[in-house]
Amino acid sequence: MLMSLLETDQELLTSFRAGEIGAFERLYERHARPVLTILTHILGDRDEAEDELQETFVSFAQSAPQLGLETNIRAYLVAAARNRALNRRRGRNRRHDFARRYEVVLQYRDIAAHEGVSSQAEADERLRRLNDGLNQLTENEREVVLLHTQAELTFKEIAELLKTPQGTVATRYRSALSRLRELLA
Amino acid sequence: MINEEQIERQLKASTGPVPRPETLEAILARVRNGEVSRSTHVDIPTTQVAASDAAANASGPRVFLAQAPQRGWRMRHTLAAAAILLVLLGWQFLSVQKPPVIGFAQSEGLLVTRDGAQHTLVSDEPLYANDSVLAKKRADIRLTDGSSVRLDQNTTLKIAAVEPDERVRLQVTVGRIFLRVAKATGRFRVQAGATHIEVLGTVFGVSVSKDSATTSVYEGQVRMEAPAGRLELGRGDSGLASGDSAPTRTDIDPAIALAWARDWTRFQNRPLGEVLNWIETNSAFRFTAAGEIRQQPVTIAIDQEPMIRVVETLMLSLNLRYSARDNDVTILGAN
Repeated sequence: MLMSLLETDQELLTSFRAGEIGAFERLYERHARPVLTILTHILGDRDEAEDELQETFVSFAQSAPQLGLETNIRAYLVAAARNRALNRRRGRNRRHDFARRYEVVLQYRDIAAHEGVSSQAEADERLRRLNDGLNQLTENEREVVLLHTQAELTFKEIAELLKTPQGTVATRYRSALSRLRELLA
Repeated sequence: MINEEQIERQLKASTGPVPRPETLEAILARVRNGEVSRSTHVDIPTTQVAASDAAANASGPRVFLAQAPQRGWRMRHTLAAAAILLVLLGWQFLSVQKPPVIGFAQSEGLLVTRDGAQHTLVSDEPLYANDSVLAKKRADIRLTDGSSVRLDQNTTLKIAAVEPDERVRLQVTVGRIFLRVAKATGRFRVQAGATHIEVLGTVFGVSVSKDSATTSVYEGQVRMEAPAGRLELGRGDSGLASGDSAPTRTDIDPAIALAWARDWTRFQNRPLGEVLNWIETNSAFRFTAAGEIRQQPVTIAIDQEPMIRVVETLMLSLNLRYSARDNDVTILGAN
């Protein structure tokens, strides 16, 4: 476990290229969860999101020998998954698609989330309201929030991914937080 | 009352759904088998078992793993050794036969010609050395060195095989490209007719017509080389090369020349009033200006961010005096 914490993505990619499948598993452990969060947000369907998660990582394994070592693997995976999910969504029956609610549900992973609450019940209630608020944002706002807080992409990386000016991304993020504040008030 | 910083901390302390264990199992099975990605589910072999227990399977992904038939351990080891040998041979065969991947399509609308055959790329599909691409509409390519290329509609580009000291060599036959070149070792070269353009860590654009090639530099440095001479271009410079003649500087403003690729709004010889209206529509700024000031012609390419800088640049470039209070700007007249 200590090794996996110490290894950089580039070292893991190098090991995987040399045939070490364990290195690929560690890359998966590191990146699968945020990628699945983005997929769930776009597709609004857990089964489809898991399918596309599978395809994204198989495609990544296939491309690994050709990827440059300087590749930002998190950004690469998120971009690949997002493209796949959008293509899949485009192929759906529109009426059926319209009826879907694109919900994503977050859960606490860190003690920091319990800041300012005195009981588990209070923390649970705050999380429920946070999720409600998140799902009331526009799709564009929610996407930027998830890409920044869950996929941990920088505004610059998000701007490149969304082909949107960096300032617009930052503005959209701040606006989303402001709306969340109003929704949670 | 919760504030935005607390909300941000809560979001960062939260996480999305945990992937189902069977998803990883299915991925590993496919990776070990050397299987390639596709958009449908995993094929179901003749002998199969569900990858997970019944409860998980009820809500899990529609993926099954093959169950190996029961054999003696000697047979299994022999088969495993043979499989590894085949994979290694296959890997070596592929690495010898396939040209290297140079980049990946980032949007749809690219028609690629490869080995004499044509097909339309989908997002994330790899591009190999010697591929020729035609952008049927504006399209993006991400190169493996981290650089990005935007092709305007009807641009034809060849991804040429690289020399030992190069990392990328692009040949533009016709059309316009916009490049954001990543800083990395190895030379990054663009060929436009008889002109070679060499760059390092630069944002620039190349426009190629039948007779000439224009290079406009937004950031960094570029060197244009033609048989008759060379020209160094820096930030804000544009150069023109025709045929074999030496490239010369032109007064083309790169901000205008590259506006097509940058999602900028471009005004060329338009009344200032029209520009001010656009800024008012896209920001909180409100302008007060006399009619004759509003008639003044302006040429500008505007990036939407930050708008305060756009306003300052506009006033400075037109040599206008102004006073501002919060978002209310009063244009007083010429300096």
